[in-house]
Amino acid sequence: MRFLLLFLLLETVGFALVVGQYRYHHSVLHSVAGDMFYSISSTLNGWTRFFSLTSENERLMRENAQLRELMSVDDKHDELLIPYVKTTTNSGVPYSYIPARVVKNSTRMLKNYIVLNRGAKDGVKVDDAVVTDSSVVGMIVDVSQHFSVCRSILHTDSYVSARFMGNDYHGSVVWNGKDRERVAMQDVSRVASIAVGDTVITDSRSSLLPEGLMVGTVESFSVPESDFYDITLRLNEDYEAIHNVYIIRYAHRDELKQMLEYGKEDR
Amino acid sequence: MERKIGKAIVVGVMIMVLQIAVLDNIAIWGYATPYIYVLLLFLLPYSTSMGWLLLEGFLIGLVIDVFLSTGGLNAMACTLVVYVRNHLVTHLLGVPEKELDTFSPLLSTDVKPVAMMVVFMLLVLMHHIVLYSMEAMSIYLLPGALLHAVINTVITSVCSIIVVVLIAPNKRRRL
Repeated sequence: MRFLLLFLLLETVGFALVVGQYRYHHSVLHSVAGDMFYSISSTLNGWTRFFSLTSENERLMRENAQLRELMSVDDKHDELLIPYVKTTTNSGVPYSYIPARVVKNSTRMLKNYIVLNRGAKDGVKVDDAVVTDSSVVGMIVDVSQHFSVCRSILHTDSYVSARFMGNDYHGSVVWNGKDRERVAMQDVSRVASIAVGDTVITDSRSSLLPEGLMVGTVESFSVPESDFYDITLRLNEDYEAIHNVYIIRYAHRDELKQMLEYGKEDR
Repeated sequence: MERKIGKAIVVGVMIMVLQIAVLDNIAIWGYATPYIYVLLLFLLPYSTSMGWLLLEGFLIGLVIDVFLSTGGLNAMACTLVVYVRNHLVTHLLGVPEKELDTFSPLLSTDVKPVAMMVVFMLLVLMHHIVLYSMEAMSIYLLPGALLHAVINTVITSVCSIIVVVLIAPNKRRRL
């Protein structure tokens, strides 16, 4: 009986810790063990990065080429640029970029977080977006002095507004926790014409993400009884293998957010 | 005797380090991770009183949780495993309660290896069910979590048996 009580007590403590994990990015990031862990992780990552240098170099070179192209911008060239660069230059929207490296990355949990090696000291703030050179990665949810935690798109609570590149039909992208290479796109009206292989990009309705970041391509879809499609997207990025990312912030974010909130209280 | 205890502790720490530094980075089919540290819970001395056993199990899980940043998932799972372990050993393996003090899975000659393996897999399954269902924490995601637990049980068991073959005393190489 005594032992049953002790057992229940320990399970309760464990459960409390699990519930705390829903705010886990706080507890981990700010604990001493967390700090120690990330410095060990940083070193280990240094070694693993060495082995992926070739592919990372290639990727950065590709990006460099695109940026050079951008510098010599004329209208014809503009067409060739990857969508998000195009959006940012055409509309002249000011985004600030902070390059960052992945310290720790998980893709196997249901709630995946990515720890980055930039923190408050580098100007990172909560709700900043995290992207690779062309794809959306996630959103910053917590910041410490030297590190920040990004909630990956592979997180069952993640929610990204997206639309098709070809037309303006939009929906929201969510992850069902099953397959790290695929996500579901919901709330796409059945009047939309879509085809397998269509590209899905981020939508301007999001106040946090710039428009035009690649999310994935349509792999399959069905038309159920309801008014909305069931769409499966194949992600553009292999999130297991990301190393270099950018933390970006829309300069007028807070202002836009305020405007988007407008009138909500009246409802 | 003291040397034996020392060796057991070294092996235990090695398994924990292996779990945290290496195995956590393994995802077979992008999905299954071997949790061989559950083996430690099965091997913890059977002479320990239940109270200490529960604390030891909880602490082992907590250490894993701190390093893998999983809140208290492993602590919960481990506490359950050590709580039911002795009951399973006495009831399913037929070890009399009086002899439990001297029982050791790696040395025992009275129990069939296959039976030992089945009990171990049961413990692993319980550990994984707690781990994955608590992680999912929703009815909607529960079926997936249970499937994950079952698949992972196979992976963990196979890896653990390999480890046992490596660490078991030479005389009797079995679980």
